[in-house]
Amino acid sequence: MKLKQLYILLLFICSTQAHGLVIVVNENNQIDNLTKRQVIDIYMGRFNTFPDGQKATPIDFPAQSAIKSQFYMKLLQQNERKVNTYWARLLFSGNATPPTTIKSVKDIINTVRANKDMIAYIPESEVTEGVKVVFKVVSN
Amino acid sequence: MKSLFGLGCAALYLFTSSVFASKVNFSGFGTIGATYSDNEYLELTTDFLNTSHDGFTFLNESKVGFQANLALADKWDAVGQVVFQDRNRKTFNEFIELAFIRYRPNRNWSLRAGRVNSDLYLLSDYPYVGYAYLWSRPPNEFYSIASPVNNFDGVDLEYKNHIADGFFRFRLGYGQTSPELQGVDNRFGFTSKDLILLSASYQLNNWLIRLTHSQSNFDDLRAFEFSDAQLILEQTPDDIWPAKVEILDKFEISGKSSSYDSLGISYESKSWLFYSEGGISKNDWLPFSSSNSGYATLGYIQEQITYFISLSAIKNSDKIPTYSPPIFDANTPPELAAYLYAISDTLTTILDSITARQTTISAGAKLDLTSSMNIKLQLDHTNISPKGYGLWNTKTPEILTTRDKVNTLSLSFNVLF
Repeated sequence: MKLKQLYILLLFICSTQAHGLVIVVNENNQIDNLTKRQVIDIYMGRFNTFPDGQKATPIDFPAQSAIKSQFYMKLLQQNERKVNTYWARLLFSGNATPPTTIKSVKDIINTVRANKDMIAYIPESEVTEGVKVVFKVVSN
Repeated sequence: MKSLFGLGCAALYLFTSSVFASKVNFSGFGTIGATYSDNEYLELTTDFLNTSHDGFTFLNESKVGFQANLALADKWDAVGQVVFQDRNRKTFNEFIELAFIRYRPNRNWSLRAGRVNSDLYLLSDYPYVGYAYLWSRPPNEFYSIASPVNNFDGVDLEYKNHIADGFFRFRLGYGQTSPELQGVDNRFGFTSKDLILLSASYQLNNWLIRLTHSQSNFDDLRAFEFSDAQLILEQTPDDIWPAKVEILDKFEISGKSSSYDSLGISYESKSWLFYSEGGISKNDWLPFSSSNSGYATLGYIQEQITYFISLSAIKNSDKIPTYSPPIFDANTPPELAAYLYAISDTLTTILDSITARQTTISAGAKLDLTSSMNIKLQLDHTNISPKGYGLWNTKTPEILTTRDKVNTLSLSFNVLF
């Protein structure tokens, strides 16, 4: 039984890593592409809008989730502790608020579908109708 | 400027208690910190706005902060933050760190009004969030004197954008602040008015550099003992104490000004950390003597533990005047002579204690427990030069003219919630 669970877990990790992560926005968003720097700008609180000035609300996975670690490691080469320290500085200096946390991919996709200003990272294999890919997350 | 701060508070109250706030986020931070310093004549002052303590205490570093972030109408938001700690003056106003409303007309510009943070130092945006910096206590030589201008009541304008491969941020602020400090024997306060702050920072990869300038005019001294002494000196005949005119002028707060310039650099990579700041403070009001201060800290990250060493120093840059004592003759009323002797003694103590000349070597470690909790241990060894006790509260004036040293051990637990 334990071996079966381990197999499923490995399968999930492999499938997530094989497909990689992508940044998605609502399909009606004017933005079609983002650069890595523009994604960092939004996810690290430098700007709270998309490059065209439209409000941007980033969504994050919960703390200590594998997909969150993978995202920040690929995007910034930083672990979650460093990202948290960065956000503590930004939040308590009153400069910005951290991304909204949503637990499941399904809920994230539904939220992005329903809100034009949302932006999220999800496994590429989970991309569905109603959202569009604007960036593929790859390491440097 | 008080009205602007009031406006910030009123807006926060309105928005938190009404339907105006479309979204409110609450968050907080806390530190339980124990310090032990081994010099029985000196009380540690980690923050000029806080009380000082000797021996073993939790009061020097423990604090808890609560923050509300409010998303308002499009392009508008507000932030309120209170930090409870061992302030000299314990009115609610002293615990309010931030209370501002902000307007962002576009992604590059923002305007804030209310009580805003000063952005003068690398840590001045978040000086009380122990979780967010490396030390158990930021270098005393640099940060204890910085606290009176951590925030101010007024307005500031920010511009941020990419320049080449880095990120540039510029702030211009105007306002005032009214700190309450611990004096030689008693608390005193004053106002820094017409406060102008400029800061420019540039971040490129792992590097951050920040240049700042501030200037203000001193005003509104709140020190009852000084007012009494001033009255007596004004009525004292010049031939009894010829120096009294100069003494009165040096201690008169009106018309005196202050300026501060600093340069800060930080480097944060996967394994190494480096922080350094230097500042030049110039004041022509005698109780706030001019000084040069700075520090350099090197850290090494190994898994969940970060080890660090630090060197920090402050040196007074003004020549502190000396005054001849009053001269009495047979006609001097005994009551006046007694008053003047007392004033002369207190003046000597003040002049011996207002300058800071000391160096501290520190070593410590930070252990990250989870992504929102850490523990820090730090040992400081401080050498204080004669008449250089300005960063300490001295229990006896006799030690002021001698050289001394202090060891301080700090252990703190820091959390975000």
